[in-house]
Amino acid sequence: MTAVVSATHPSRPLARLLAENRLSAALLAALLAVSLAALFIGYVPLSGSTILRALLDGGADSDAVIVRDIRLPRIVLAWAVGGSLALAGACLQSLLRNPLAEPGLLGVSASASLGAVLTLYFGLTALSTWLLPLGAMLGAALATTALYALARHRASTLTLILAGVALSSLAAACTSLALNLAPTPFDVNDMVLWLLGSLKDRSFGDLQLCLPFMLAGWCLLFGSGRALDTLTLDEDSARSLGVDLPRLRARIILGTALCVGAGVAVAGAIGFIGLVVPHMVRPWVGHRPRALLLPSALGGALLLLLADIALRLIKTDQELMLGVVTALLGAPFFLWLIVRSRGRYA
Amino acid sequence: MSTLTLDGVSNTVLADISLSASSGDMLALVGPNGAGKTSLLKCIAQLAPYRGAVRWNEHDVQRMPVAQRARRIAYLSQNHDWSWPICVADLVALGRYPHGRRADADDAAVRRALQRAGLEALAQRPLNRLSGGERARAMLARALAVEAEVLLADEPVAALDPYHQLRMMTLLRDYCRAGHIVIVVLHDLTLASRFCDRVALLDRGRLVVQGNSEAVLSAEHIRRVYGVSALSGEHEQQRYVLPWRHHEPDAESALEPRDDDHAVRV
Repeated sequence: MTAVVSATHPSRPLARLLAENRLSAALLAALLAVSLAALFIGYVPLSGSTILRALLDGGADSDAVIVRDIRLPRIVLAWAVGGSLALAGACLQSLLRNPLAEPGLLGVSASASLGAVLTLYFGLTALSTWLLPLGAMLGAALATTALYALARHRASTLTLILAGVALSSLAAACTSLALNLAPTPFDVNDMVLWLLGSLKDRSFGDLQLCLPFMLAGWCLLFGSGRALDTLTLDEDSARSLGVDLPRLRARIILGTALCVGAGVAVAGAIGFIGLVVPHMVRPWVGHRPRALLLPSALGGALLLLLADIALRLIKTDQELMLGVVTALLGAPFFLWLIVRSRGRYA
Repeated sequence: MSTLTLDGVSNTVLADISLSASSGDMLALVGPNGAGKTSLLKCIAQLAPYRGAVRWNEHDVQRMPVAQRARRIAYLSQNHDWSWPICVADLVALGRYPHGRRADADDAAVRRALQRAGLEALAQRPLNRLSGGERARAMLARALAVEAEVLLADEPVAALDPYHQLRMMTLLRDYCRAGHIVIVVLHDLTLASRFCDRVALLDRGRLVVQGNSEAVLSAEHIRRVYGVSALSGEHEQQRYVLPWRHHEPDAESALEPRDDDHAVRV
């Protein structure tokens, strides 16, 4: 589409093409710079040479372990989870033609959380720590299957949103029930801490578990950009252009489930990244759905990393949880969006 | 030369509609609210299920690969709503979706569509900064950019002022005269009479009569189907039809085509 525009108006679209690439390049540069800074931030102060040595030469001393096994996985997980959440948000907003959509909207996040909480409730984590993320993914997969069944039968977008709201409510109610009936206060504590979302104490093992699912999700979502562009028009017009809407919906739902389910599985419930980031990026890419995807993913990674750094810098008796910080920033933004778009999306 | 044929198209709204149109034909679908005009257009565009057949040059459109069908038949929705305020050039470029990625051909097609709709100067303007008339033309340009043999337009002049109504109809007629089939749903009987070669009058899902405007938009047909009396006459050798006074519609006679209706079919 950019090529079309550039032929129509050579000067301005070229500027836009550069601006788009510049935006992604700038976001990538910022992400790398912030990631580098994040290696220095933590309870143990480390010098640049120590960090460089730990990264390049390995070693088994405590400094090397802090860099390689604590700080680096935390940074890479922030990239993967933040990028996945924002990418899924951008795709959902385009698919549902609604700027208020976010991954939590379809009930996938809540269902993933429920799966993880049930794993804790039944004490399955004592058998293997891997069962916690697997429980989360199973929850996401079940929610996705229910939504997919709806999408296959030509459900309207409104039906999908309402089904998502119903699934979210059901999953939240079941999660509350599990908390209510938890056998010991320790179990409740475990569940609540996990529900609050965090990247603390994660390892490359966690990354290995979630990354294949996220990669599959990224492929599905990035491959849907062109069809999502047509949903700038109403659904009938998009279908008349040859877009297979039920299939597109199924792709986005599956991609979202893979990305969000895997993200929730390793980092717990982290909200609003998928809502806020596409909104921040959209004006910079001429509001085009396809052009939104890559900068959103990079922006999501950057924002989550910044939030993770912020909560490490704010000194409190108990470390702030990442999901709490993103919710505190995201919820007012969500309300502001609702007020601003009142009427138009009624 | 291409021909579009509808053979016994029926569904929950429509009953046994048969029509045909060839390149260079501009056909108006008229009828009261709920007559099935939009439903018929959606059947042709494969946006609604139906029994019977829609054929393009003897090929069953229902069995065509989706992209091929989308390249042959363009659809201009009644709904001019948009989700995101993209610029006009980007909107028009959406019309190239069925053609895959062919940058050079797409460039040229988008330029032609912008030119036809007189939108070159507005190409970079976002949709939220267009007037209603400009937005309607931008939507038409999007449909023109498909460069399909058949263009279906659902009430393209609804909510437009007289200037933009005439401009829109002229654009559609120009596209038709360039060798395409244009089927347009209209409520304005004068526009149907002036700009369209043929008119098909629908009522309660049935085709009451089709033919040239003088035969179809007769005082008798208008009274039976719409329940109104109409004034008609000629100005600059073109016919105008003005609904004047409403009566209660004659339910029985409106349902069934009369024998003499067949005499005016083409």
